[in-house]
Amino acid sequence: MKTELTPSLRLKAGVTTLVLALLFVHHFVFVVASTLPASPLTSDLNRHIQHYVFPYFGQRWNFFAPQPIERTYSLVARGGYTDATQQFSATPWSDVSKPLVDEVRGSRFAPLSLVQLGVANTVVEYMGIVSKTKLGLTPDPNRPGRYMIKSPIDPRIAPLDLLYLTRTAAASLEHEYPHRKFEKIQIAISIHAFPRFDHRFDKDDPNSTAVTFLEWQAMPDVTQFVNGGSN
Amino acid sequence: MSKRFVLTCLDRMITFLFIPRRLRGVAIIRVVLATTVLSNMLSHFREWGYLWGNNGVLPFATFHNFNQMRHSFSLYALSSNDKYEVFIFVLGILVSALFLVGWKTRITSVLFYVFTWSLYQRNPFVLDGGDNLLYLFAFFLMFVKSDRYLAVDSSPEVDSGSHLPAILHNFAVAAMVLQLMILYTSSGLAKATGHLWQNGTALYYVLQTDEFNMSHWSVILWKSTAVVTFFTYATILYQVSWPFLIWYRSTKLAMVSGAVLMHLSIAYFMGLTWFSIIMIGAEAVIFSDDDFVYYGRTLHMLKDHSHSYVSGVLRRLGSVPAIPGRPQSSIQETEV
Repeated sequence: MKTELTPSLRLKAGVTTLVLALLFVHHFVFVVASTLPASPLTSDLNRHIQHYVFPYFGQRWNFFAPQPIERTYSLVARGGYTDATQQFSATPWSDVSKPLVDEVRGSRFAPLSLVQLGVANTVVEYMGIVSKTKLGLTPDPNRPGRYMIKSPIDPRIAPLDLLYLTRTAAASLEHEYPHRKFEKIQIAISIHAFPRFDHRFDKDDPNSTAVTFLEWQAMPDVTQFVNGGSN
Repeated sequence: MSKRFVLTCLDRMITFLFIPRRLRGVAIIRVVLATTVLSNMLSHFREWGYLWGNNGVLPFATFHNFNQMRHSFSLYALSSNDKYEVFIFVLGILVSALFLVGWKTRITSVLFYVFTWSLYQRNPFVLDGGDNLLYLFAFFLMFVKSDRYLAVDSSPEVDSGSHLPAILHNFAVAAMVLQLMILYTSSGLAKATGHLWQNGTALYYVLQTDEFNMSHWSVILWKSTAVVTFFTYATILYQVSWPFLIWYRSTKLAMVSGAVLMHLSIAYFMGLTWFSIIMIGAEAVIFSDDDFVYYGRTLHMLKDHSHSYVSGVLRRLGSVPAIPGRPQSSIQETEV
């Protein structure tokens, strides 16, 4: 297709190209800066990055980098209720993560795949913050590898992640015990450190699992799963 | 530098930009992204209440505060009425379907971006890297002509009066390519700084975590030190070389084949199916329309050669009549 470039068309096209080129450069300068590791340059640009890049062009491409996760995190939960003798009782611990993972293992297009992804994302992020900050993390002196977070609603420890995990656990428990009226819920995160590469043929060490418990909380009212996803 | 020289360069650049490029690639991306969103919405329709509902995993008040804190926008934030939320969700399904079939893409591309962004903001906890690329590409798709191919409503040829949309289209296509380059480079460089990637064992740790250990066959991979080391290093090498090797016809096919193999393995062994589909689909933007014609022609030639070879063998065997060759007219010529 051959086009006759008249002066007015040339001017119009030239100005459009110039404006788009400037927008293009502006966009990618800030996008690239947002993906760079922390440096004097990125801290200088930080205010502009925050304003321009987030949330609409936010991106994180460090898949499994710089280090892949070296342990498996699982969300476990138990429900508390008043039994027939008017005593407070608790269900056994239920693994919330495993049935969801099994579901996806059965079918890559499982209707619970987004539920599983949400739990996996949140557990990893929450434990990342907890282990980095050590906020509220109290080791149990009598039980090695057992920790307690006394104040789960501590605003410094990603309360939104915690809310997400608690509500997911509540939905899972209600699916598992459809006829039980729970008053409280306790969640915990089990952290299983699998063998290092050099020891990958060794038997799994049962002591390699640490558990971080959170205090009992009021049972939230959540829409439960429709599909499987329970033990 | 004379004024004439500058004007000639300017004219060349402008006439280059007057022709919308990579129309087939963006059409493929449109289909892949719309299929992904549509399939996820349909397959999770029954879990709508838990995933996106007002009484779901993120209650409306929490979502609303979170949304405001992030200075973000979502159609789901406009009302906490259950019927309204379901209506927006169903409308989102309809918009994705229309965009998938390529109906009025000037409008449906904008609606697709708005509805997909809104859904993603309603529950950002269920997003992965594929969704991240999806919403970035969905933004650029608003500015491209994605309906020239694989669409029920193909737009007319660009005439002399509509050059400015063509310039916009080409900038958006360039942005998609650059976005992919940023993705691969930053991912590769981030890996290169990690000691488990440096010592060649990172793949083992990835495959050992429960949520990414989706196949019993992964043991075959991590059993062998050589295999683990090879794939760990190959991943870094592939990612950092991607931006340099997509510019030549001889290497870009190898890069895309590498991407397809890598992401199919990720889908199978790690269960990140939609992530892999998005990443494979996104590769379409690195092929020019000429490339598609060239590869199409090569494929036809290979087919014809194999036909005539098979027919020759059969003739010699004397068992069946010769298979007629494919008529040359079946090869499509394009303007780009």
